Parts: sequence; C-alpha cells; structure tokens
Amino acid sequence: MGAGRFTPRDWDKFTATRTAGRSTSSIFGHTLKATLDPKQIKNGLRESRDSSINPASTAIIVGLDVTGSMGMIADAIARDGLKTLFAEIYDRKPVSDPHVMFMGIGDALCDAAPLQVSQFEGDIRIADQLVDLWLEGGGGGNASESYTLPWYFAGMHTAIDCFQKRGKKGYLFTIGDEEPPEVLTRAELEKVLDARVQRDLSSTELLDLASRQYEVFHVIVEQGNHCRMGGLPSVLKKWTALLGQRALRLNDYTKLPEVIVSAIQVNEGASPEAVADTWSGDTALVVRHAVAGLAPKEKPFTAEGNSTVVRL
Amino acid sequence: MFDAAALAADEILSIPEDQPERLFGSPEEVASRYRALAMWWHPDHASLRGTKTAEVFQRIAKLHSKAREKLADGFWRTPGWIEFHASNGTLHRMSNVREFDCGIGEGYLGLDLVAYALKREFADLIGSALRLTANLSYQSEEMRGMMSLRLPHQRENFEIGDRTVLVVDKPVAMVRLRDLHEYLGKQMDTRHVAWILSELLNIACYLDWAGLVHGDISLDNIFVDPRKHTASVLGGWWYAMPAESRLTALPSRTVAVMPRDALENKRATPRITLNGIRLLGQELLGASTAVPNAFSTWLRLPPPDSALEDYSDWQTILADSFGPRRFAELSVSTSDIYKEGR
Repeated sequence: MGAGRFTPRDWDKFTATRTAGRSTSSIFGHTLKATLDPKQIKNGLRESRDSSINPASTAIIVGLDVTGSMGMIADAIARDGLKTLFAEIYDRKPVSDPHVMFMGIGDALCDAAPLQVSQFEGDIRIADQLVDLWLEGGGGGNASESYTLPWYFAGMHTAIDCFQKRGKKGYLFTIGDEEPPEVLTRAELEKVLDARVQRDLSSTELLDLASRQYEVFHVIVEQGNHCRMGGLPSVLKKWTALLGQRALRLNDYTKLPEVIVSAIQVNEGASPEAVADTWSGDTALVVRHAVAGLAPKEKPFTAEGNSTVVRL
Repeated sequence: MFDAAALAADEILSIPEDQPERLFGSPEEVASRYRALAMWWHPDHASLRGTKTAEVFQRIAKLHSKAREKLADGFWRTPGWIEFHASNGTLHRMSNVREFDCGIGEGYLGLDLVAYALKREFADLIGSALRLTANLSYQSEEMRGMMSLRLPHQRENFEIGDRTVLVVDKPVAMVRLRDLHEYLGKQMDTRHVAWILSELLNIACYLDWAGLVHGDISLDNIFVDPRKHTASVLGGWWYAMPAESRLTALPSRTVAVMPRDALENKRATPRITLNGIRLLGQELLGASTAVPNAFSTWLRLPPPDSALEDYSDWQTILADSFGPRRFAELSVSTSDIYKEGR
C-alpha cells in the first residue's frame, strides 16, 4: 500500500466531514475493526511499496497508546496533527515519500484489542484508518502497556521497500506514559496475533527484531496520568535503559508530530539545537525538551574498501 | 613440442589477461613458449599472419607479464589443478574443481580438500583460525566420533607471495553449500533446509560446549553431503573466537544481524552463531512461499542465549512443521555439481 500523496485539500475535506465539531467518542471507532485486527491481515503482512507517486518510500510507524486517557493523543492527531506530520516531512525532507502506519497499543494482559494496525498509506486514506482505531481506554494498572507488540509486528509482519530495496531503515515510534514491559509472553503473542513461539521474548530481543528494519524510538508522554502521578522517574529510567537517547520526553502532547519530525531530522544528521530553532515559540521549547539529548544515528559498522571484513 | 603456429589469432585473443596458464602451460614452459610465440607473431611478420598481428603480439606480451607475476607470487593454475610454490621452495599441487571468493582471500575447492589462500594483512585472523582449529577438543571418544567429521582438520599450511594458504581435509562426498544451492536454482526445498539447519544446530551445541563462537555461518563455509544429510563447518574459522572474548572482526553480513548488546559490548556470544544459522536458513529458502509457519517464525525471531535451548526448540519446530521425521532423499552428488563446464 502507499500509492498516493497527502494534500491539504484532502485534509480539509476530511476534517470538515469527520472531526470538526465532534467529540472524541464520535470520531473514533467503538470496537475492533476487522481491517485493523492484526489476526485478520491478508498473508500476515503489511507492505510499504514504492510507486510512481512515491518512488523512494519511507515507512513510518506511529504506535499510539490507546489505554486510559491516552486517547487524547490520537484525538489531537486526527484533528490537526496528521496534517503537520505530512506537511513538515514533505517540507523539511528528512526522509523521502513517507508512508505512515498507525497502530493502537493497549495492554495484552487485559484489553480486548491490545494491538490495532492500519495499512501503510501515503495519502488521506491514513486519516480514515486513524479514526477507525478503537480508543479502548483499558490498560491494567500494571505499570506498563504492550509497547513491544508493535516491535514484534514490525519485525515479523511488515515488508518495506525502503529497507528491502535500498537498505534504509524505516522509523518506528511508540508513544505512551507507562514503562516498557519486560517480556512479551508466549500466551500474549498467541492471544493477540495467533503467533506460536517457543518462549517468552524479552524487550531487548524484540528491540533487536524491530531494529533490523526500523530506527526505533519511544515518546514518553509526560502529561499522561501515570507520569503525572509520580511514575515519571521510573518510566524514564526504564525506557532510557532500553533505548538510551531514543527515549524522547514529550511535555505537550499536541506537539507530537513536530517531535516525531524533529527526531527523524536529528537521526538523519541535523543537530538538535538547529532543529529546535526552526520551530517557533512553544513548539521550539517542546522540541528542545524532547530531542536535546538525541544524537544522529550511529554510523553502522561497515567493511573497508572492497573487503567484507568489519573491524570492531 | 609446442607449436606456436598452431594457435590462431582469435584463440590467443580469447584468453583473458589473468589466465596466462592457458597459453603457457606449465611454469617450466613459460620462457620457451613465450620465445616461440613472440617470434611467430612479431609485427615484422604482419603481412604473413593477417591483420591482427600487432594486437596478438601485444596480448602475448601482456599474458607473459601476468605469467611472470604469478610465478613470482608462487601461484600457478592449470585446468583441474592448482600449484602453489611456497615461499620456502616447496611445491604444493592440488586438485581444483572450483575457485571462490572467501572474503579475506580465495578458496580453491579440490576433490578431498579445500585450500584457502588468505591475504596476509589478516594475519591476526589467520593465526586465530589456525590456533582454534588445531585445538578443538572433545569430551569423549563418542563426541569425537560424532563431531570430528563436522569440523575442519588441518592438512597443512604454508606461505606464498602475500598469502597464507590453509589446507583442510574435505570428505569427497561433501559439496560446498553455495554450489549445491546454485545447482538447485537458489531455492531449496524446505525439508532439505531443515536437515541442514538440524546439522548446524548440532554443531552449534558442540561450539557452545567448547566455548566457541563462529562468526560466519554462510553458504561459502558450510559443506554438506546431500545423500547422507551431514554438514561440516570447514571455512570461516578466521571469524571464530572464544565465547565472551572481545570481538575483533566479523563479516559485514553477520554484523548486519548482530544482537545490539553484543555489538555495543563487542563481546562474543553464542547468539552470533545462532543468528548466522537463521540467516543461512533464510538464504537457502530464497523466495520460497511454501515454508511452514512455525519454521518461518523460528527463522526470523532472535535466538536464545544457549544453543542447547535452541536445539530443543528446533525439535518442536520440526514436529510442528513436518510431523513425524522421515528421510527426504536428495539425489545430488559431487560429480553432478562439479562436472566440467558447470
């Protein structure tokens, strides 16, 4: 999927008919939609393929926590953020031809729909799929949500041309206010994806899996209940232990698209300060808070000259 | 007696500049053949030899120059054979059915041996390979009986020019996995991939026991006996190291799928070997879509820390994927794969 371009005209039409003047509950779905159910995906694969319209596509996955009050983030993106995300990527060009996929993230322990998965799209169809998400509002009060389900899904169930054809990784952002889970259990994988694996998988292993094809980030929503109620130090500590500088702090959830675009810019080589300075007013402060510690992606270990030997 | 007049201009021009052996035969004949050819094709005789005389003369000169270079490097190859003139003056003549790039040099596949001519700039890796393969140990005679045919036996090693040559024994019935894979159209039947992976996981268990990590489980380094369903890791030992030791060098394909913690800490972990086995399995299957789900999932997931645990998991995957065990015949022999012209 992904044969199309996002345009302001399509966006205006979408917002006029789907979000303007509506409450969150009337915008989003109220049950797990079959088209977003990872168990019902044809051939078990979501694809981001190059096309004549997007000849050098870049897969970008945005996994949104939809537990508890976290639905506010999906709401902000559906009302305004998605336009910013596409417009700023088109304008700043940190990567080419974005193909965006949204995921809804819940808690595999207790939610009915712990993972929802859209297609990869390059045009307004992604907005339609975004509002198909069911903001279940669950979560188990267990100081973590199933943020690693997207990592498993990305590693096992996506095929992306940016990586397969050009060796360039896509981007995977998960967003939420709780700690990462330590493991994804066999039972959870079977329940959510009908996947049969031999053992529980640690978050580190799942990060390895996702990182083969994606640059992986997590955005910590500091305005979320869990962070505000004293959980922030623990959330920061655990995410930083897992992802290092790629655990980004977000102190204004309405600026999530700007933070995502900025993180991609920095990862692709821009300096955090310079990127923050390109935004105005409060946005610059939010971006600086999020990406201040972020460094460009490390140069991969590569062989010298014509050799295949990598000296470590 | 060599007859310079018997070779037509086009025959000489068709010889690639890096294959002077085809024109000059053996090292002993280079000088005499060159004299005879140069006289016959000298531009002074252009009117008698046709329009390509100057071109042929130039080609002969280039081939002679390359021949002298090869002789100086101690390297001479005639069809079906290869000769190494070692720096200490000894001559090593070996059968040669296939030549291949082995990353840090060249590999020469003979009927019962593999010779690796490795660039001396990788002396540290070569030294490590020699030490590790010379000191492979076994817990018991039973383990030796089971594992020794799956591991390399050094036949000899010597120096030539800028290369160190490592020669290891190869059972005659074994073929290089890349050659078998290409013979089968680069897409192997899942059942055959399964027995190869079973063999490699068995070897990985030995490596775990021996405290070793192999960093290049690849098509070029694995050899298999298609009829007996056995596999050996004969090559790539220059990328082997003791477990938990500091990583120094690995092939780029291994680095691309390395566990992040191993890459960050630069420590050798059994997962490097186990990741290599999975990567090899994916390459062997190629674009095959008829891969059982359990098999496909296992191939793509990160391995555990222990080869024994992985081997145990694999037994379940085999049962889930194929049901009860049964021998899947693969009627391919070395002569099928290495027959002339292939």
